[in-house]
Amino acid sequence: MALLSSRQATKYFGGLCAVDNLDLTVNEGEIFALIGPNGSGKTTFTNLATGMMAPTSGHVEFQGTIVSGQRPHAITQMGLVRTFQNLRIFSSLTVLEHVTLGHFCRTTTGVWSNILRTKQVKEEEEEIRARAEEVLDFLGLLDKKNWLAKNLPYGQQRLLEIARALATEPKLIILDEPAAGMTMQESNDLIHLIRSIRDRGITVFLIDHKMRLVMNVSERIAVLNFGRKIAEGTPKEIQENPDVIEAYLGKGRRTA
Amino acid sequence: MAELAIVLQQIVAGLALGSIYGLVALGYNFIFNAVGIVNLAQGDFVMLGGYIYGGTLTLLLGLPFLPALILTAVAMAIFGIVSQRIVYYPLRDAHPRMVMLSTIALGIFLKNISLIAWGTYPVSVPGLFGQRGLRIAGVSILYQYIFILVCVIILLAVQQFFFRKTTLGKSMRAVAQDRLAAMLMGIDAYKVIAITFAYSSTLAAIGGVLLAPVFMVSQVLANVGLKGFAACVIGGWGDITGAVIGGLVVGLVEVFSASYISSVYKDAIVFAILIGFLIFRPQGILGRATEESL
Amino acid sequence: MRGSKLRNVSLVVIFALLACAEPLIASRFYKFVLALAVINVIMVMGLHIIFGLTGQIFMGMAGFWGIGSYILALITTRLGLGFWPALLLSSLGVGLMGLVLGIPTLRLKGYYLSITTIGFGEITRFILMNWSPVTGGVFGVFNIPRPNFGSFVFTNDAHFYYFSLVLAAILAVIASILEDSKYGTAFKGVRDDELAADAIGIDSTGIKVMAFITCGLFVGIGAGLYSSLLTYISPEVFTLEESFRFVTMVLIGGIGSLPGAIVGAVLLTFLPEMLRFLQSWYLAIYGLIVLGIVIYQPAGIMGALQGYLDRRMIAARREGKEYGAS
Repeated sequence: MALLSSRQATKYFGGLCAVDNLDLTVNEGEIFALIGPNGSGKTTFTNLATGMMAPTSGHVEFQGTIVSGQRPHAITQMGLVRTFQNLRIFSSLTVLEHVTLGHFCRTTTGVWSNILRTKQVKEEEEEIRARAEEVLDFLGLLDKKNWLAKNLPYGQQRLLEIARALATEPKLIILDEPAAGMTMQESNDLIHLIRSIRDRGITVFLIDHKMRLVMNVSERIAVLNFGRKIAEGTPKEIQENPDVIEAYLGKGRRTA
Repeated sequence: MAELAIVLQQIVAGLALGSIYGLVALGYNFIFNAVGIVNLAQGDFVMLGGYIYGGTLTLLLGLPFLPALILTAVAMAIFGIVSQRIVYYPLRDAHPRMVMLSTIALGIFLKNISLIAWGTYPVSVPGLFGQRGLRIAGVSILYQYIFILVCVIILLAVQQFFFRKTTLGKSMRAVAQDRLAAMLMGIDAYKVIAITFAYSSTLAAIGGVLLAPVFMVSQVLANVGLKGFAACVIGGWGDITGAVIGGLVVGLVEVFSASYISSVYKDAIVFAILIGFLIFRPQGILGRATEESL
Repeated sequence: MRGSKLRNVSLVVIFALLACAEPLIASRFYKFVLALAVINVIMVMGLHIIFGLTGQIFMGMAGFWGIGSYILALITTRLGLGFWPALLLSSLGVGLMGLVLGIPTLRLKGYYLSITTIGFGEITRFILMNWSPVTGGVFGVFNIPRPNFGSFVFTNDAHFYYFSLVLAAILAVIASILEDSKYGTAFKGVRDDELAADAIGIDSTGIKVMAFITCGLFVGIGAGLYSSLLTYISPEVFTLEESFRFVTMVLIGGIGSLPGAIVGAVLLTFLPEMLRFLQSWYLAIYGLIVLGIVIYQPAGIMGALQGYLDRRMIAARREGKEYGAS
């Protein structure tokens, strides 16, 4: 069943076409990857899908509802969440606070009851804390829960972004270059992590250009070049596709 | 006929004031495009320019217009470089919020140091033309206003030439478009940024020099900064043509609302229009601003 | 010491000092300044929420302050309502202004917001000055009553002072609870990175509007007390410089720190009075000091204190040979 689908999504910046009539379908429960050289429009597509930018034409649907053009927080509340390629950590919050803040959009108590500290609020706080700690445990960050997030090593900040996104209880998570800046070891662990996120029932939309990671973990791959989809298929099909090889390695390499 | 002449008089006054607001707006835009911050002391730069020109060079030293203008421009260019070293450079990696606070603080310092330097009484600066003007149907259109318009048009033409034809101008445009890319191409971005500040404060200074004979020079002159900001918003942020158009709009609105609605509320009306634009058309009249809002 | 613990300890110390200060001050004038300081403390707590916690540089404090003062003044003198309902209405009225002003933030960020709030403050002052039939124009409003409990009226400045101090303490507790709640975390999230907050499902616009309303509710109470303390108000007080003074209070104390904002408010109420002899040099030096803080000590007084305590804790741990603990 299609969870996320893009229908002729197009985005122009001035005269430059960043995403060109893109059709994509991500099915529920799969690990789907969008790859392509730098500047091929991957992040722009993420921005379209999560409401950070409005498409010039076409649209993106999530669970049958058009989400492109909606406000970002509303899309997240519908169950479509993203992480950022350039880390966006809250500099003054602790690790635990990052994750509880991820839960914020699923909580119900109002301001007045929070000021009066009603029983309901205390129960909710307990529940949020328990869930946040579970998510931190899942990502192996629990022992650092009281650290200021900005003091974490880079790779763990990336994990924290994923934890924060998972705390919003998404149906689909878009991971925008999660392996950027990670060490070899961290990058290997990421493969496991992505699989276990999927095993929690969350569809994974992976954006990256690291072939090793993408080929290892994804079930289906689409390739972008200059904003246009040039191929789609299983990792094996993609690896053998001449257009992809050309886009990635250039003509010289193919003849050599 | 007389009514028509009055309207003409107001249009000229509005355009003259507006062209100065346009200069201030350009100052905001150049700095904003180069470093992504708004120098909220821009209005105080106008005031300082007015004081240096009027209070010191003209009244104290008795210099004629042209040397006084040039000396003011040079002094303010140097001041622009010094102030960017103080209020921007140490905070270039901090949150833009901090730069905003530092420029406000600089503005407060300038306002009050000018009180000490030039006194609390407004300085009255004689213009080249005094109160003489072009008489049409018994209505006088001040030569100073016409002079302002001519000066601003010449300045804009020179600026256009500078940005299109000179290497430095091209570098400034490149830094404004993409600082990182410009640095990768071997442009010394920090030098260009310093020059951008120098140029912006020169524009403010020229505004102060031209306005000095119209208003008296006092701390009130710093309010021109807010008018220039309104001009930026109305014309569309980051847009050079927009800044000038926005300035003219603000000038005309101010002059006409002063004579047809209330001179007490003229500033409030400009603000109300500014707020209206911010809410209903934040991209400004020309609407070319990018999606990434401030 | 963790942030919230340091905050609570500091708050207790500050309020205890404020409670002891009154009898120690001999001059009647400085007793009055002290009462003003506590009123500024109440108002700065409002600014702490929108600026300190939520990161919005709100430059319209004078507008909120003016509106709140006039609401209480006009309701008590023209409509003849008592102090208490008037205080409630000035709080609610300014809270409502917070909503009205907060709604434009649906579209505005950063500089736009600040300039809009400057415009708001200036327009407010214009209206207070020129809408004479209602506001009394430049002459202002006279004979504003002092608060009362039944027939007991706080005419004595010392009584008024302690009354305000108790209100300030209650509001400080409320502000602390709010800061520790999930909403406080959301405020900080929006302050640190609005886009990231949006991306995890937080309606950052809604959060900002909420912060604006809360700010208004706090400032309304302080502003009402201000009217009542002075018993006479006029519009020329509520200037842009005053708005910036409030922003500076938060800045000096340390952006995001409640006790910091309070210390800043007390300092910046007393300093101008104590440094009067500097005359016009005062404001020039003030501008330089603010500039220095922004550049060299952006975390303010409380940031410096936290840093000092952290260093001492690390040193103590070293001596205790607790290596490795973080």
